[in-house]
Amino acid sequence: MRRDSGFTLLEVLLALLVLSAGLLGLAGSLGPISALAGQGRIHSRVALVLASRISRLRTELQAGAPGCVLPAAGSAAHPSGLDESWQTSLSGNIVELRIVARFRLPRRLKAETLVTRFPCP
Amino acid sequence: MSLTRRGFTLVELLVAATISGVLAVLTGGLVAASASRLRDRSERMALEQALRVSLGAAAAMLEPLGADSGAGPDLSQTAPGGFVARSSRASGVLCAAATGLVSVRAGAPWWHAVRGLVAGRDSLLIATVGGADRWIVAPLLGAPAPGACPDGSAGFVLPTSVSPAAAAQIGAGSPLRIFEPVEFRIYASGGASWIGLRQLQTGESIQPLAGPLTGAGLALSYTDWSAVPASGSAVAQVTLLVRGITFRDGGVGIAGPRAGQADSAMLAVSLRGRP
Repeated sequence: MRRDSGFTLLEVLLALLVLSAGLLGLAGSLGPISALAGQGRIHSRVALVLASRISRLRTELQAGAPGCVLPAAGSAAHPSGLDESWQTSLSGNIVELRIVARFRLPRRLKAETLVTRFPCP
Repeated sequence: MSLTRRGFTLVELLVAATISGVLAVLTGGLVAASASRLRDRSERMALEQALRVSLGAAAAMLEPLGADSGAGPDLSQTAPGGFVARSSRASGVLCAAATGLVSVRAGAPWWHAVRGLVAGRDSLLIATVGGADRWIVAPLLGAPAPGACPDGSAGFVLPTSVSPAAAAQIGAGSPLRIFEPVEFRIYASGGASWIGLRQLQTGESIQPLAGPLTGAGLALSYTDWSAVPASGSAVAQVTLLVRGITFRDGGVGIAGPRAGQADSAMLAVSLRGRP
């Protein structure tokens, strides 16, 4: 009698089961990537708020040309739930603008600091 | 010799087919869901890109503008859907002025040009010397001609139409700006709205910059220094709100593309000048 060698049906089914478990795991790992993409949107909105603030501070700074007017420190709250505060300092002929933005990510609060320097003619 | 051929029974085959069918439906659903997530994400990225490019283009136009140059504001028309602004093409310093022409210092650091000057398209903005903080606007009437400055240094001559009275107010040391009026606005084309740019002097048709946007996808508000709505030379700050949209191919029984996702972004640009 010759014993036929090969997979039994049961083995094939088990292999299929293992493979689909693997695929399920792969699909699940896409979730966090989506969440990161969502955070990218929040960060891009924060960047726009910071750009608006820099534009304003720069105009205030250059309003007294020649020479610099040091803009006053301040803070503002935005309807989107973002709070920003800014400070200015002068060292030599370089004005430093420091803006801190506080905003909410899905699970935590985050603070982002932007420092930029302008020469004072 | 007995050869036993063993195969699947019909029942075994049916069970196997059922199980693999169930698995196929489960994984198929997952694959479809993640494909639609992927499409949503790439739509969102395209949307973000359109918003960023729109705001960047507007900011690049508005940032160099002065609130009031003494020859009217750089922002000459202000509407919710767009504006007309003086877009800088070159800057320099005069070394002499006469009726009908001005001499300009050549070379760095005096002369800086973004592109060659074009008569009929570009205009001159010349600051007066001696006290009054005022600018004179004059058209560029011809191509730049060679001609040294009175003090012998390198220079060139720009034909223009400066009156004798104006020529007396400008002269050596007057700052010069060459500009061209440019229109920036939203316009509809091919079932969507776009942000576009147009050179006003040449009468060219509007050129697309970014999009697609929703129908009223560009909302500009013009305010003075304390955020009160303003017009003309009182405008110190421009706030831009852009609303982007994506389009998908129509499904079964739907002709043409249909709207996908929409999102908006906001940016405020302060003009140069005294608050």
